[in-house]
Amino acid sequence: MILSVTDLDVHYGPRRRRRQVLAGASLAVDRGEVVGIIGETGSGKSTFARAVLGLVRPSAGRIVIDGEDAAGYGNRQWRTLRRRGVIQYVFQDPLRSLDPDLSIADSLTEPLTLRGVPRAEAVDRARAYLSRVRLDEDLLPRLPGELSGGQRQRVAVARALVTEPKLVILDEPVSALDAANRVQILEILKELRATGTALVFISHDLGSVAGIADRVAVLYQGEFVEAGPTRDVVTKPTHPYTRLLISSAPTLRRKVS
Amino acid sequence: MTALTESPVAAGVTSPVLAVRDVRIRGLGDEIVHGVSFELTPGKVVGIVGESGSGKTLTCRAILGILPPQLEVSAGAVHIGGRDVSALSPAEWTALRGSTISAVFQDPASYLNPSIPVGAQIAEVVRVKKGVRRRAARHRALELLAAVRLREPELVYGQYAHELSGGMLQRVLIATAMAADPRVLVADEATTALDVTVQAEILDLLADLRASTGLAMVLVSHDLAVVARLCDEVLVMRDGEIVEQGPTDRVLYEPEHSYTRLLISEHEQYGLEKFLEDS
Amino acid sequence: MVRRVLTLASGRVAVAILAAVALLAIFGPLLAPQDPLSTSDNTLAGISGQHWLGTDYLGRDVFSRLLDGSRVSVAGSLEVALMALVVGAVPGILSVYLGRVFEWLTLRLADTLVALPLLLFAVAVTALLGNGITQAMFVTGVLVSPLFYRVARAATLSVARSQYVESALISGASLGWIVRRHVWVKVLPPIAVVLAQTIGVGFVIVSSLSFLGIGVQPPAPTWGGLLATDLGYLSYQPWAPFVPALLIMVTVWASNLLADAIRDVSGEAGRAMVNRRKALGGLA
Repeated sequence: MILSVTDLDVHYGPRRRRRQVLAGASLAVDRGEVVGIIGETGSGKSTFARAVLGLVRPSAGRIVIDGEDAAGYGNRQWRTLRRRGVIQYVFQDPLRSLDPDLSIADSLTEPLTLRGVPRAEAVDRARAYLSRVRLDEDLLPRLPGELSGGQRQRVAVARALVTEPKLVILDEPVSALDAANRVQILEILKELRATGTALVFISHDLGSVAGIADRVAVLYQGEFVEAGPTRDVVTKPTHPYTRLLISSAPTLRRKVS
Repeated sequence: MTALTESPVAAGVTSPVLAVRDVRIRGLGDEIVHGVSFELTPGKVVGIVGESGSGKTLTCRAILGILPPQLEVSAGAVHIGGRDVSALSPAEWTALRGSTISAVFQDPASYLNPSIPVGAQIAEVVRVKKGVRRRAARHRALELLAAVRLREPELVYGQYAHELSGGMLQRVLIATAMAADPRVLVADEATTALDVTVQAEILDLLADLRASTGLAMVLVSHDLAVVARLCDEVLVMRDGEIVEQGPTDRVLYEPEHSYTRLLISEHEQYGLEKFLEDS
Repeated sequence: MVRRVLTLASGRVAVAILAAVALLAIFGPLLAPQDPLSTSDNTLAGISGQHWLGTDYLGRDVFSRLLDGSRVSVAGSLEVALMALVVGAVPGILSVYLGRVFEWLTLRLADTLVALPLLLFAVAVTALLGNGITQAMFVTGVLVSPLFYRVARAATLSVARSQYVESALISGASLGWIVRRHVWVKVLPPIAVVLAQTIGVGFVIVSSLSFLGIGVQPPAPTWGGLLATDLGYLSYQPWAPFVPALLIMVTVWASNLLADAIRDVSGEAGRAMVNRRKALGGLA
């Protein structure tokens, strides 16, 4: 198990107006597995990712990452855990995920240089991963403003990979992209899975993860209401919300209204 | 409701409510859109699929007469309700917009005034376009809110934009667009920013409107499936030109252009297709 | 950034003027042709070969007094600006990271300082601490610091919530790393704008205080002081106040122009503009 979340509760807001965003959420991700988390806006899917990454503190529950229970960790402990380079994240918005004042090389090498990796070695790794996401190395000295959205998203994926994490969480990685870029990124992620990296996809659209996920978990109003192998969830859904998701997913089969 | 199966080439008995004939758009010396043609008769829905930069949004803007200042229609013609729009004065355009042709766009919140309740904004459109008095306008606004299937029209009428979800906001905008009973609705990426379940509801709503009022629509999206769901005819655009055009069934099941095939295969590889087909 | 500012005509003009004023401050007193303090019987004389700007009511050479007085004015305005920078900008950046208590305290302190009337306070302080321009300038600096605080805080907040900072956090970056790597570069441009502006403000304050006779021991010359005495002898030398007034105005105008130029070339919009100009062949 690379990730094991048990009975996670997360609350937001000041004491008087606390809202519960996640209630008893539980999920397990095996090494090398691809899991899709499907949820609509307000379901708590982003909060789930943020809790697992330590950006938000849970009120209850366990978050075990590669054997370490991080749920009660403070800032310093989270920093130590993060420097192990086990878990990484790709943001949804490609336009804002890179520092506009730093070159691509600087952005890519940051996860390595901040933990003391010498610059030369970091740049070599950056170059290697840049080619993995099918980008040319002459992009290294450029600024993000000179790249297209699709290219920036690929750089963001490369940045998440330079530390060779065991688990990468991706939040709607392809929804802001056009068709050609989408296919490219999904291809890259498929290759990634082949190297044994576990992936967690977060999306509001079942269709966008069904093609790559081994298992799917449906998040509805802060709880996982259904989970299982993709084929089972799609063909034999048990929860009414899952059924709604499936019937809403845009497919090319003509709908008869 | 089965799709209208007329071939798009045959004009049909009814004259088109919208005719786009070989429209070319030029700006800064270069031609950006190279010849778009299609026709809309009452109840017909045309879909335009393309990525950002394909020219689909510019085409919509040309149809609505809201091209950015540096761009212009350099060739071809747009006829709305039988009238050539290039000959229209700004006043005539204003009269045309809302009452004959209307539009909804992506990101509904940015089209609403955040400091006025949404109901009042719909009522304002009704008052201006239909010339009715305040009370009648409010009544009509409530009717429209009910027609777009908002569960509590009275409650929504008094709410502000920030209190409503994306799906509800888009319904409000559709209600506003329908306020003056237009014959054509242009929906430019109207469901792109919405959750997939909400998107499905909005598309259902549009199908409903078409069935009940004979509304003709131009549906623009980067998602082929969204277009396929509702449209009789599909135009696939890329880099300013139409790479494929035809009845939806033909384009989906017998695509001719490689780009169309790419869009289709992407859906089949990464969508629910392969699971649903087996079941 | 300096290079980018110099691509704008406004930037070049502003830098040129301020450089001239700075040189005046450094070398002015050395270049004065006559002793600025020596009186003579040749009072209220007009322009002549010996006295380029004439003499004042005590027969002292006006030109020499202007050159000598530049040092006080410039030094004073720099003191205000630097004091405000240090007292304001650093807490501004830290207020985002050091917890709610620190944030609340510094916010309320800034609010309080803003409410105090600038000139009045400076006058009051010199009455308390003695008639020295440096004391007055430092107090003024503290009173102006809320501006730096708010600007630094706002810039830091916008960076702190950005995705690339979160990405750095996720990779294990420490707070120091994030501030050094990401925050500092974003905070610098708005601070530079405010700094340039504050130099102008400081200048006006020094001139105002010395005009009122505060902070300077006569007979030491200052631009503001010169203006004050000139006004007293307007009927004899109606043109006399123009020169110190012009000097003050031009300096303040140049510092505001510099602030505008820095703002124009900062941020993404600024960078885009500079690149566009370069592409078009560096047209001014």
